[in-house]
Amino acid sequence: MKIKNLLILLFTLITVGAAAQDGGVKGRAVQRVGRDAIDRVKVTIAPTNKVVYTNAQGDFAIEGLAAGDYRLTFEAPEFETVTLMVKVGETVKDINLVPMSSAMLAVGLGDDYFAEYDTETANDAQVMPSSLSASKDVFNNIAGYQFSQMRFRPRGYDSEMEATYLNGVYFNDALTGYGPWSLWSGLNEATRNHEVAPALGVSDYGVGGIGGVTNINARASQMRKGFRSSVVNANNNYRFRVMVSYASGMLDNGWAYAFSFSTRQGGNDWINGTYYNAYGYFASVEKQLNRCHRFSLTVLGAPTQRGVQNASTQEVYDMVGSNYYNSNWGYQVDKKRNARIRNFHEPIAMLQYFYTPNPTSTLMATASYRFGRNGYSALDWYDGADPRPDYYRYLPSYFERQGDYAKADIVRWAWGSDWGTRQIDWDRLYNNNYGNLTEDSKLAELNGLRRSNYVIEERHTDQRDANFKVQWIKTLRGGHRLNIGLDARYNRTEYYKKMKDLLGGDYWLDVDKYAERDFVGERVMQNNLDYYEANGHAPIVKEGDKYGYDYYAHVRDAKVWGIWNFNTARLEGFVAGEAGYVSQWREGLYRKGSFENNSQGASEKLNFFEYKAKGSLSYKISGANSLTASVAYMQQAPSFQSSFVSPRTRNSVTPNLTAEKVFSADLTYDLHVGGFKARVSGYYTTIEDRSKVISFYDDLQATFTNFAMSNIDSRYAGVEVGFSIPLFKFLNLNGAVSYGDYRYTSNPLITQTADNSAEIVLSGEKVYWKGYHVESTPQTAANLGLSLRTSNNIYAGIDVNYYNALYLSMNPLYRTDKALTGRIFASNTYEENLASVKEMTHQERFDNAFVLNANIGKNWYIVNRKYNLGVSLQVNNLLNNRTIRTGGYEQMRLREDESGTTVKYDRFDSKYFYLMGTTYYLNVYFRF
Amino acid sequence: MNAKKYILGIAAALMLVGCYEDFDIPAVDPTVTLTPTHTIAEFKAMFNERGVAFDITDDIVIAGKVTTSDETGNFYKNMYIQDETAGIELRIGKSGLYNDYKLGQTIYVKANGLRMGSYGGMVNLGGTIPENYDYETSYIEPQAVIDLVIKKGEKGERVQPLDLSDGKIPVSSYGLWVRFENAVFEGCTFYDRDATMGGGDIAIDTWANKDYKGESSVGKYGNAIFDVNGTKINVRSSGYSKFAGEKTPAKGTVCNIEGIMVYYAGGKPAFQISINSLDDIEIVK
Repeated sequence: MKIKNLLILLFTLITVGAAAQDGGVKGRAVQRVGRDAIDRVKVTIAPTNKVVYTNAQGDFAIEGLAAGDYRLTFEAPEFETVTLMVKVGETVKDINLVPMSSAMLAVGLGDDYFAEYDTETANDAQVMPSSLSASKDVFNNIAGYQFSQMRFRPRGYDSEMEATYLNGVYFNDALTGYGPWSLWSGLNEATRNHEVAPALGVSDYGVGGIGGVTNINARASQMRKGFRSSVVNANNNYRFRVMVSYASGMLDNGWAYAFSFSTRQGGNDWINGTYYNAYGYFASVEKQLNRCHRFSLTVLGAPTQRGVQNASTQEVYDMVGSNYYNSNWGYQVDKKRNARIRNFHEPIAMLQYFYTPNPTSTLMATASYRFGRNGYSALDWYDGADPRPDYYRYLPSYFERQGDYAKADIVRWAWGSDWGTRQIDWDRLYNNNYGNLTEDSKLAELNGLRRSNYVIEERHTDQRDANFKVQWIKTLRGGHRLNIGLDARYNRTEYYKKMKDLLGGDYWLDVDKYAERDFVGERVMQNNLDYYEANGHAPIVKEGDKYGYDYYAHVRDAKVWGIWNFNTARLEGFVAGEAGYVSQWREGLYRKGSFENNSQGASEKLNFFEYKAKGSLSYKISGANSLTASVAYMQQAPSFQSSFVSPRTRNSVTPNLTAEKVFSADLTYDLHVGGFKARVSGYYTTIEDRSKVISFYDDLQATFTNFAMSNIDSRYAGVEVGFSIPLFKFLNLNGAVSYGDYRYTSNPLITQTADNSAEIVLSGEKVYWKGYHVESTPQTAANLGLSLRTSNNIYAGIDVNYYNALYLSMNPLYRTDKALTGRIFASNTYEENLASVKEMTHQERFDNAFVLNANIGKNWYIVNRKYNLGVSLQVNNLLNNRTIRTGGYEQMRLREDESGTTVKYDRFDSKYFYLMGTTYYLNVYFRF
Repeated sequence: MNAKKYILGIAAALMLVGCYEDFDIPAVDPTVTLTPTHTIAEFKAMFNERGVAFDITDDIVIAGKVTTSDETGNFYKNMYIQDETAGIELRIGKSGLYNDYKLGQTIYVKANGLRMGSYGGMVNLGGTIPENYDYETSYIEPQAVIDLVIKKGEKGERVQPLDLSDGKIPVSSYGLWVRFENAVFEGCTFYDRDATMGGGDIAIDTWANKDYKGESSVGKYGNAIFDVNGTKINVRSSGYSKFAGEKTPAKGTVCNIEGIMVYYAGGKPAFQISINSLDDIEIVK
């Protein structure tokens, strides 16, 4: 009897369950204007992990839903994300048409990020912007479109904390960890389709870091079907951009193909000598063999030539009357020539295979290869005067410090009246080389030839980067999903210098000029000792030859990872883990005279165990709001460039090198009610045991030296707020605030070595950094914006942005005991001593700034809605404020003050970058 | 498929975009010929008449051939020129002068606005000075001023040295390129001003002391004493020169020496020779 009752009960439950299974929702995604169907809209149903896509007619259907409240999110590239709350009963509910508005085109976004503000020191890397992708998250969206103008870095992190995937393959640079965006810059159309996971989120393709995960879907089937073209005219980075793309969509025969081509050309209105001569190409083909098997092949590249800007001191800016002075260029005959050109072409080829044996499982296997060349040119000289116009000895302040005001005035006059003083004097450099005839050389063949004294070198970082990846995604019952993968990476990067231009001379002799100055003898001053021994003389370098240094950086990396997503009525979240090994070593191709036994061949192999653990739990307070707690802990290898004290010259490893430890926690509150959206997050992060190597010319040592810093700890804490409020009908109010406090929390140790001798210049010197601020990003950024969208497809927006607490990048040398020599005296008062110490050690904080930006656009559907024509205009810095500092750095120089009898050191003037005045970006696009 | 044609057309058009790294090759700077208003001897006489340093306010042009080179680093921010009458030191505020001014090249100096003074008894031509300056003249600088003041003339043969092998050194030879034959080497020392090794003159076996640890750069100089017919001369070389670490010959070695005749009142001996490179020292036996 009991058993019978039980069976009946069980049966009832099953039938009830079966009945519940019949619930569902269906509908059609259409364009708000014209009601045309939109295909490939991603429809996510929360709280489940179900994802479906609309078909060519825009239709979607989700079945098997239990009765209850669901949140449907509709996402598609180029369209604004739509979120709907749906009550599902016991039948499939038809929500009919889901109108989606086309998103304002990402004006300006993209290219602005990649206009790196290059500097002459290793600070290069620091000012590399982290990318902020356009995202459905209201905060990230504003930060991406608005804050990027100030080189804002979310949460203060370097770009290596943000994981960037291309078609599911981790693509951050193998050597530096930096974002790889420049590899496809200009290919905005082909890379438009991307997904962004929040700071401590995970993607479907990997565990990611602590700064979010972006995956770019750049495959034939992922590009929106049709032809699109656009022409941009702008004045902030380049004059013109032209882009044409075509995607076939998935054809009936199972093929899909897509290609895209773009070019960016010209300079800008603010900085002389800079320009773009950049192209981008993309081609992808995909074949669906049958229900189970699919292949794709994608090739892309961005051959780019770009003239670069340099920072200068305020003295120089004031003297020339512009904060946009660029010392990198000068007139050659009567044409502007920039000495610092980035010139790269690093194509990527990617082959992928997808195996979908059933609707809940997918196996993905990918092999990708990145190759090509990446050069960055600069002036090099053997002897004689520094050719850079803003070298400190060429400035009035240099003479003023010596009390020679008359000469300072003469210098000022020369800067004001003579292009050869104000900019690089190419004609002089050529004439210098013309006159440098070789006489009485031991090498008879050189007699009568001109030995170049000034040349342009091109520093190469040529990567061979191969990635292999296999992963398995399994959707389980009850809203669970399991994702496991194996990633392997092989990277061999050749670093070398190439002779780009002999500037009118016939040859260059490849010796270490710093070693030569130390009178170490012929042998020791050789950069390439093997050549010297075989030929009896240093290499005679012609244009196109390698010289100076040549080595491989090797990185081998393998890891396994897994992510388990779960989703129940009230809770959703994930647990993720990753573990792997990284091995890195240097392989010198030259035997260098000063390091005969430690420069050629393989260095010791540095092996690091890496792991990551991440977890996140969301509690849905109701369908409209949720609270999410996330935590991550990672241990990761130092970057290759931090692992060796002087990779250009030798195999010596950075002292105290250890793996970095990263901890981060995040608490986020999300609210979605009708059109009202808000997010509030608080975060706390520590990064410990970082290492860093900075290379620079040390005036006190009169030679090229390296700072190897270890045990750098930092802490990042803050809140992020983003909201979007529909005011009425057409008008929307948005806002975002990022308020953070990012600081160094340790006093790192530095070892200073010279490039031309094994002598340790400074050993175990402490850098007093504790309490100083993390540099190069505003720690406070806020936005308030109004946006308008009318029913006839006119868009407009105006944003006011506020930035504060932006700190200058620090020279560690200024915070050492050595730098304080001669600053503290027992006879002085405490206040006097303190003031003197502060003068050396203080960190500059920039003034706060307000920036006003605006945009406007219109879309037309013409000829039976077959064609789409649009115009958009973005104007930044409407108030034309030209005094806003966006970054800069302290020069890696310490000046010996010779005015007193005791040794005392002084700082050099810092160098700054400024936000451009008013800029515009006008985009006209045409699609069908 | 029309789209394809579009794309190919536009792509082709874009390939024709201008070239950014295409530059004309700069012409060789023309040489000039100016008419000197004074010989160098006449010019130096202006200083000797006054006996003190002075700013030049007349449109004076002098001409001379370059006799020194800073290529090896033994000269630094200075250069000597001479005509048939005399030689003079020019103090120019840049290194690598040998790249601009070649041995034997005629150069013209428009002296108006410069300053003539002396150091240790030798006349030189340099820039005007601010108050409380350590020297009687400063450097001619910056580059824009150098370009205005120093004009490059024809290149030519190097000057013939004035032979002083008899050991008699007239005042008129100061600043000239001179030659001593059969000078006998007596040894080389540096002056340990900062007493890093006990102080005083300390013997070395190289031409200069590149590794001097003291604060004063005086200690980097090597004083190689030679005897020329009973007259002592000091081949004084900088520790910053490329040959600073080269070994001197053994004591008693007989050499032929060429160099600039420098007089330094405080020197022991006061007659100093500055060589361009070790090629200027020829070992006879």
